[in-house]
Amino acid sequence: MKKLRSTHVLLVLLVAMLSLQACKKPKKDTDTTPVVDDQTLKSKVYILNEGNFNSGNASVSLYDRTFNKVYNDLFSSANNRPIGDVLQSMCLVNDKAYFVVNNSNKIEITNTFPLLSTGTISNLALPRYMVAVNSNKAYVTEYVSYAGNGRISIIDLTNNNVTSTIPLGYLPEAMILVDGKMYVTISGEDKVTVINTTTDLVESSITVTSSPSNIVKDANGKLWVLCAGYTDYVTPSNSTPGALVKINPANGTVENTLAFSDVNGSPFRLAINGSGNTLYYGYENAVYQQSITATSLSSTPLINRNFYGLGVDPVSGNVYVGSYGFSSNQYMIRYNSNGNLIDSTQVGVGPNGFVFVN
Amino acid sequence: MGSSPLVILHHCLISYVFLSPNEVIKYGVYLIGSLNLVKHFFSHIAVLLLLVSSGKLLAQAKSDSIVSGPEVTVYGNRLQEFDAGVKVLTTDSAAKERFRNNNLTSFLEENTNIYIKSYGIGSLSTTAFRGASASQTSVLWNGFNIQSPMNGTLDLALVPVSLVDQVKVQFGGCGALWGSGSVSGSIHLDQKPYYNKGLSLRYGVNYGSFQNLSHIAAVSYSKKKWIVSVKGFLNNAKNNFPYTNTAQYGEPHQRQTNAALQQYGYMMDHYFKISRRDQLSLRMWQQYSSRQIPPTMLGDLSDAVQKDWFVRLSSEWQHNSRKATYNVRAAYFDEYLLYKEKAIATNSLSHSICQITEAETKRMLFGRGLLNVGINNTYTTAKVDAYQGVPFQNRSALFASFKYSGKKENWKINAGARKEVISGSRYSKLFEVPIMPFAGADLWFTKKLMLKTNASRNYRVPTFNDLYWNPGGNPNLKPEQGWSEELGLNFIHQIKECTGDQCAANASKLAAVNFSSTVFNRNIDNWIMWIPIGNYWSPTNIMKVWSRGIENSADVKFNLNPIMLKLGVRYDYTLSTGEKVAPGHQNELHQQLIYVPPHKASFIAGLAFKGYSFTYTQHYTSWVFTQADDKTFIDPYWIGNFVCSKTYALGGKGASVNFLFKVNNIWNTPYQVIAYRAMPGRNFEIGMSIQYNQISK
Repeated sequence: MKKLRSTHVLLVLLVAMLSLQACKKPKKDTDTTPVVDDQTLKSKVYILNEGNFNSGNASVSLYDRTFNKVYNDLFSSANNRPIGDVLQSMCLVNDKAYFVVNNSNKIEITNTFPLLSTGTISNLALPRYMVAVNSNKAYVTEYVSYAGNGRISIIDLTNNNVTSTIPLGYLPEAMILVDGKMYVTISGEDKVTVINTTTDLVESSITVTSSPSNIVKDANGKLWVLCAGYTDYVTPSNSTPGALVKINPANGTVENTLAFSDVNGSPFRLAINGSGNTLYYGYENAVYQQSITATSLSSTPLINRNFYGLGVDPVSGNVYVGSYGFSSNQYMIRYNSNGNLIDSTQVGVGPNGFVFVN
Repeated sequence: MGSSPLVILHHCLISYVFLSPNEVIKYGVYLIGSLNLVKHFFSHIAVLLLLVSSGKLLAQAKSDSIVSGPEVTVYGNRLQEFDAGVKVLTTDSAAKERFRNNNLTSFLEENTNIYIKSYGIGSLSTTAFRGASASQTSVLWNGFNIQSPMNGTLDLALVPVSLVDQVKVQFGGCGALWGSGSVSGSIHLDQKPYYNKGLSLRYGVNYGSFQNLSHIAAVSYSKKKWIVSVKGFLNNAKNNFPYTNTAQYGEPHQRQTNAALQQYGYMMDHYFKISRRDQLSLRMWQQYSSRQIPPTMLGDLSDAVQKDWFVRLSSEWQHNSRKATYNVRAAYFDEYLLYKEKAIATNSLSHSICQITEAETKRMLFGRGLLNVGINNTYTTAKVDAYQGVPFQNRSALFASFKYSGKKENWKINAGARKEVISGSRYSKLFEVPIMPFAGADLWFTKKLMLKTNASRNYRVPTFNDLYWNPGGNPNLKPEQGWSEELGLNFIHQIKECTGDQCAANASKLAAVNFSSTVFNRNIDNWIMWIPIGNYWSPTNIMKVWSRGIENSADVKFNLNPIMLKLGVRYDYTLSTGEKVAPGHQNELHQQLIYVPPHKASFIAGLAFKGYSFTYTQHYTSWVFTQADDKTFIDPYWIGNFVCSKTYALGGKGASVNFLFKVNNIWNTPYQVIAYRAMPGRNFEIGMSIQYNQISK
């Protein structure tokens, strides 16, 4: 009898065990390659999901504007491996996609769809951005180290080797090619370095304000540099505000400096629309919009939300933002140019940028 | 709260902390060099003697009336006495012997079924019990919590198995006994006194793959009234194991880089019976570790080095009378962590000091009852570059437990509670932690079937990083706290050589069968989670986590003289889900927490005869999610390990030598514990240990 009782209790326990909701074995999204309605690059947007630092969950999503569909995890589906750690930016040259993977110290080269890997560019140190000078040559900015100066590596696009380097200042960041000259923001300093792309030599440098991070060209051929400013958490009085700086590339002079009021506002992600007359940027957890002719900074936000990536559709003028988050998948949220919400779709972790293809 | 007794106590203890000669004035000042350490040690002993002498007077006043009484009986810590309803796994000494030259990470991975989150061999590793976070498992050295005040965790890779006498794993929360951090379980590292054993000597050496060389040595001498013991270790490893990097183009075969380590340290452990009723114990654990931090498989160029060094002092005075024991104990931990990484221009030194004082009494009550009442004061301070100033924290607690056993020893109950108050930098007023009760029971239905059950409320106070990190630190954080319940059944059956009534209790066992199954449930509120706020991250109390699961084990032992055979199977199922999440994290709601494997299983087979021993273990770890919305995960893996050893007696006078051979990851399985952190394939260890015991322990 007593033995019977013990088996009873064991039975009850077994039932309790079974009643715990079973945890389903997960499936990899990457097990199947997405079926894409239109395999050309027509009307596509590459979405760069930076991933959480040291987690290896950076990814590339593709948005088809015609069919209004998002395809996630393209690189890992095509190649059965992660793209790397901290996907910083990408560049399309010669029908190839170049993905700059910052903390993996490399550039992944793939076809434009479905991102089949064709090689990597190694021997880079904390690369940030890549810009093609012509179809045979590209520049890559590299931090190299947070402890010292950075550089540009010159890539021979015919064999993907680094042919030489150009030493630069502390934390070289964004680039833009204008009339054979590369304008490079030196984000750890307060200047924009100008490089002659024929001789690959530094020609001059233009002093702006602290931490120039983004650079775009407007309809009048003027350059706009967004300087993030400097935030010192230990000694707040050392902090400096950010600024939007207008440069005339014809003579290398600063034409206007619009300083932000909030020292800790950290303006970031400067973008410009297709017609080159409206600037967009993030500041104090909101997206702001202003005309290139405005004489002061906009005081009313266009989109009042915290975000990470920002892009402006060159055709429709729609504003794309990536939601801010690194612990789980985030959203691509679309707004029209008046700041009205269109829709949102799940993409990857930490979406930091959008590359539009017409 | 006004002037409740606990507040008064708190203020008294603070004044003790501030007035003691024990280096308080030196807080915030770096202490480097052995000269200072020696000074430190002596001042520490001075404080203890002071405490003891005052305590002793008090105790003598009470015990003078008792003319004769027992000798000092050495009680273990509170866990031993107040274990009714608590699931405790005591690891056996033979298993410990097989890991004499390893650290606690590999020891626990092999001998328990708990999940160890390890960044690589010799690298940072922490536990995640029952679906909790690493800082919710306390690690106690002789009852003193040694979790880092800065991040709330303890790196198991920094605990050499050889220094510790006994390792116990306690499942489930027990905040009433152990205070903050004992939310999901505790690991107990205990030292044990062996009186009257004369001289004992031991030396061991291990050589393993990837240039892993380690030495251990121990000397102890014990007489009737005193014991002196010193154990030391020295460990060097290159850890440059080969692996296939599946995360890179072309899947190259490469070797792990920047993974070398060098560690050494010692532990002194002295006991003195200063009178028939009084025992004094003094311990010192000093250790240095320098480890390179290997890169991930993702191509980062890590040149990071982490150095950890510390001195941990503890001392305890115990007085026994016929019906009660009194303990006064104190601990002083002085710990450094230096992290250097050239590429990110980081060279950061963290320094923490922790000073714990505890006094308790255990008293027989109502015949079969035992009452425990005590106070604890924990003072902590830390200097970290990212903190503003040198913050400090003082926590005072009052705790009590009562156990009572049935006449026939067929039931045992245990109830207790703890009340803690916190003060410190950035606390505008005294912070009161709610009362943390505990109740548990052991119930024998039959001689073979036993039920264990308990319910408790547990908590974890925010770490210094949570409170003081600049930017982000949130001084308004509340402790994580919540309830847990569990119910377990144990079935124990023994087959003896004889049967029926004539069978003596000590008849040799032919076989023993042991089944155990435990279901648990835990709901934690105010779960601390760092979320981005503007340009930086800050911790919040928003999250709620619900953990539940079942743990099963079956063990069979056969004693087929001269052969001993042992088989064991364990299987744990754990769900741990976020039931309330921060705004903007909606897709993380109801999802399994990252790095909590739903399934974990292990199998062990051991065979021993004539000094030979063979052990094979096989472990299964299911997938773990690596993203809070459960969209990415690490594949499950099976790992097999094999170890054999042979002991020879040398000359029959208490000397023996043991040879050991190990094959780790015998099936050469590629696996990852943390995403994209490479782990070694099949690797080997050979070891030799020689020891002499004048009188066997």
